[in-house]
Amino acid sequence: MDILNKWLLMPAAVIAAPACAYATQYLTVEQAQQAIFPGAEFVPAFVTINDAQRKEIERRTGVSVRARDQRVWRVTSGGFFIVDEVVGKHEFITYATGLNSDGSVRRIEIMDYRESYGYEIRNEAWRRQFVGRRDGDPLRFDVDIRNIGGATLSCRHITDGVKRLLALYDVALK
Amino acid sequence: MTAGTPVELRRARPLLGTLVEVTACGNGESELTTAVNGAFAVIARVHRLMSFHEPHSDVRRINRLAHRVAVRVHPWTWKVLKTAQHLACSTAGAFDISVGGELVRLGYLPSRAPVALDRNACWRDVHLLQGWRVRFTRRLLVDLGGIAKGFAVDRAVDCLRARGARAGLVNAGGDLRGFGPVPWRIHVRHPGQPGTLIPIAEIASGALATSAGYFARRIRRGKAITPVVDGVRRKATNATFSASVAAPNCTLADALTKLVLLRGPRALGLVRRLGGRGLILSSSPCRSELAGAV
Repeated sequence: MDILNKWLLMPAAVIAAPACAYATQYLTVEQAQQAIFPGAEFVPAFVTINDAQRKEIERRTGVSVRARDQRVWRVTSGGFFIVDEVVGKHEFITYATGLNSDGSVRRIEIMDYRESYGYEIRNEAWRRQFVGRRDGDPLRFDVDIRNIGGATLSCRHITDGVKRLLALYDVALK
Repeated sequence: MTAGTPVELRRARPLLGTLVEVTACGNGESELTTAVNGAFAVIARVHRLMSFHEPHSDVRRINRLAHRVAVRVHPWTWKVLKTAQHLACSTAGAFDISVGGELVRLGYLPSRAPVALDRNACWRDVHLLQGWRVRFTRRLLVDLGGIAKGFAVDRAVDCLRARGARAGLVNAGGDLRGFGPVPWRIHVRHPGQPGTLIPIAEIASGALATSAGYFARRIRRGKAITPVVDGVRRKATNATFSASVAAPNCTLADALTKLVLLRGPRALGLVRRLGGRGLILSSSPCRSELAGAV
């Protein structure tokens, strides 16, 4: 049949691989900026929220605020561009959110997706390995794996993250 | 227009309750960017029409009103309902979109104001009328969770092709469809160890959908359940295996994985008669992985 070239059937011994890690980078910060606000210019407006702001964001959203520092850019043509991270049990996702000048969501783009089993993904040191660097990753990422059929993790953490960013807009950016 | 060098664009956005990934290959980055953005826009549109949650979706509207009056829906929604009804008929009611009430009861879908659903309602109570209208003959809740994702993937692939992509792949949380000259190698998760990825198929031009309970499984009254409900028994399956179906389009592939998840290897013959090819992966890490492929 033409729709399916072949099922690839591997012996069980090959399949029983050890815990593994999977990663995809979709966009750099600059690429994400241009994807969401084509042709615009960006002025860094990084924000560090205080205790009262953190509590207010948590009260409004029911989502806990993990980081006080938020990577925010003001878009010269209006609006904001924010890079944020969310961590699930197995996934670590960096994503960009563009906000229109009225605070509504313009677009969300995933920048970086990492999924890991057998590593402590919630561990701060483990996650720090990735911040701002691409070289020297101590983890073995399987670059050959590109297309995963079979349910991905839900996007609930991103939904919560965006909720948190919208509250951040109200509390600290507007 | 200048003939650019071959480019591949790969983007991901949160849509349809999952991460949707669109890959497009062709000449010229600006053309591809338009194609990829168009594909996401189409998926967002399907989401707005067919989501159980969105307040103004067609699904929400028919669930609220169609037991009283005929409700006009978007032709896409009507088409998905039509395909679902056809599959309900072909599977003797195992695949049934009227199980929304059961999914609410199991906590997989949100319950709003309590409504008195008719316990005897089934897919036969959903009537598709001329003029893209829908009417229920009993009070029921439709959920298109088992088929709309596949439909969204199909429309996104149409969009990529129409806008000049030479090759592409759209993957909505494991329901995917590819096209182009080079086959796409697809990995699926091991149902017993979701972190382990198994290369299972190469898709030249067609769809492959996979359903499994590994991330959605819950314990209810001491039993593990997943959000796939048998239309005849009105019960959630506790399948521990994963079901993959290859088919010419993703709407069909997506829906047929639910049938395999509900009925197991016995369903593989029927899957084939309906135009798909099914594969079951057993969750046992030691046993042979292949429980059945047709």
